[in-house]
Amino acid sequence: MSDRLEQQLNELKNKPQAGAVDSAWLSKNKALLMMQVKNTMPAPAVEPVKQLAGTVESYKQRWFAPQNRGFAFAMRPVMVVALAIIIPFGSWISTVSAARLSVPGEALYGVKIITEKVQITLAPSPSSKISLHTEFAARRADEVVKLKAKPAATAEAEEEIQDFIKETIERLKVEITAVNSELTEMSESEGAEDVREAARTVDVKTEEIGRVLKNSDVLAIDNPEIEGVKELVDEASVNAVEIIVKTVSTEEIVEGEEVIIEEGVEAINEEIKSSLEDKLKAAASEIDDVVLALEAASNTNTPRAVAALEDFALVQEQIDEALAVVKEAGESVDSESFEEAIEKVKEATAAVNDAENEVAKIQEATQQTVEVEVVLEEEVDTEAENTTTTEKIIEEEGTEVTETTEEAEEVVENTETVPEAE
Amino acid sequence: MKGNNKQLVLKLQFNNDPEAFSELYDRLAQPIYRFIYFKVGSKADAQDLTSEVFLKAWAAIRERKDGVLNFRAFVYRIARNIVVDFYRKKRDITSIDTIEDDRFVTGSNIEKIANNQELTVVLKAVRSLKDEYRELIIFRYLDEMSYKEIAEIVNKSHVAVRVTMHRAVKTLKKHLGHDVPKQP
Repeated sequence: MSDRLEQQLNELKNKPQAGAVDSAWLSKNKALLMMQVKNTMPAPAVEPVKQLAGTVESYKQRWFAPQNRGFAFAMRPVMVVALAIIIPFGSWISTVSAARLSVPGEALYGVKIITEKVQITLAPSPSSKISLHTEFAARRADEVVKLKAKPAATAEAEEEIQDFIKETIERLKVEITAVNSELTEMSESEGAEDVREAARTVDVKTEEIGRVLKNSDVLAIDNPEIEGVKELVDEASVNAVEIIVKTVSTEEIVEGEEVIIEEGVEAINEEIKSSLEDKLKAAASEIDDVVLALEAASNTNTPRAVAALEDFALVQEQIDEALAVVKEAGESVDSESFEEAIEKVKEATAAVNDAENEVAKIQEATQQTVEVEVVLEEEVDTEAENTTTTEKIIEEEGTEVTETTEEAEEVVENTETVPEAE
Repeated sequence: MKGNNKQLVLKLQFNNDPEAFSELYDRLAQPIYRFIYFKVGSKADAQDLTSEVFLKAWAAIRERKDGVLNFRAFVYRIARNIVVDFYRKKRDITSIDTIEDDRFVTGSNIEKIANNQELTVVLKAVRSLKDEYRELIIFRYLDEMSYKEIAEIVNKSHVAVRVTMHRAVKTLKKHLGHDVPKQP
């Protein structure tokens, strides 16, 4: 191959069209991947187990050697007590691992919640506490999805599931609030690198939770609480990015003219940019959903829907406002004015959430109207049926009356004829 | 983290060191993404499949009791299989001509590429090669792999790879309009 062609092929690898990778995606994907790797990492237990086995063996030899029979006899009650402690404790461990998959309403769910509380209490650092809270928040979101998918045979069971969903959403709110406050607290006391790492985890995980909640119910007619918690999750996600931005600016101030950030300011800026772009994409997709829902509601020909034209206009205004803010935020992201962009993203998210809530209300009102109409139609049908039955009865009765009259006339005729015969 | 890929895999497998996996990801994510991107032609699909490759690699390493001798070849083999599965599921193979122009790429970067007409022509020529040839060109000239390593990935002999590579280069030159001397 000619050197020129070889050189050109080599140059190709840095060209985006030839598959040069987007570095922001690369680091984001790495964070997600590492989270999964760490979650599935087996405990590094090879050496301690060997040590423990060795220790047990040496004690066994010392205590139960033939010359120490008396000691062994004396130790028997102690061993029984020890086993009485070990056996329940061992079963506790297996119960805890089984409880991980449980959902509210199941016997082991209480164990799961207690274990999580213990984990939080024992967390060695603020960053591991944050990581645990985000992990538990993700678990709560999964539980909401599982509960929603649970079939209910009776109305009572359905009601019970709804209660569990509400309870789980409350727990999710608690976790997210904890994530937010712990991260803010950490950003004030810990080093920038650690804070950034924790904020990254929160950003990635909250986006995932947001997606799970969105998939669980687009506009949450059955569970309006989901909307509330989704707002909190969005807030936590934006807060995480805001904290990343702050760590960069703080380091710039601390270091004065020369910026010394190990990861490189450019890479972090790219990461912030990509994260904000993702948030804007999510907001745009939610706006699309609201538009679709609004169209669907306006196509329903009910008198109430027509009367609610003002509500429609309000949502339309909110959509327009959200779109305008998303556009402005996009421009701020492009120009790397991140603080401004974050404010805009917050504004856009709030506008989208308002529009979603309004559409949810309209949908609910429309649905109620449709239900009322169905009931009314049924009533009209019943009335119509009743009318037909009455007419039939009247018709039938009419026939009888006619027949009776004819008979009576005959009798009268006969009576009239009899004296004549006499 | 220092050490070659083999040492990192050993650290990962026997010391459960997540940092080793992180380092392996840093070394290989970019070439694996590029390799997949050339095959599927879409940025979004390439990103999804790249994530899948590393998750599968992680799962495979955890399950394997024997060490992975050549991690790079191992990950590329996973990538090849994943791309095959991807097309099997899709059953609608993207034609080389329809490779999407990502909106992300159409910014300032693409303008730079447009200025460099020659590179664009080379890129088009590489894309127009059949899959077997394109794969070898990427391995050899973009990822700078040895014939031995390529042979390990594509599961062919060293000689067979050399012969195919020769044909691939010849075809590429033909597509570029370079003079190719006729074989006697």
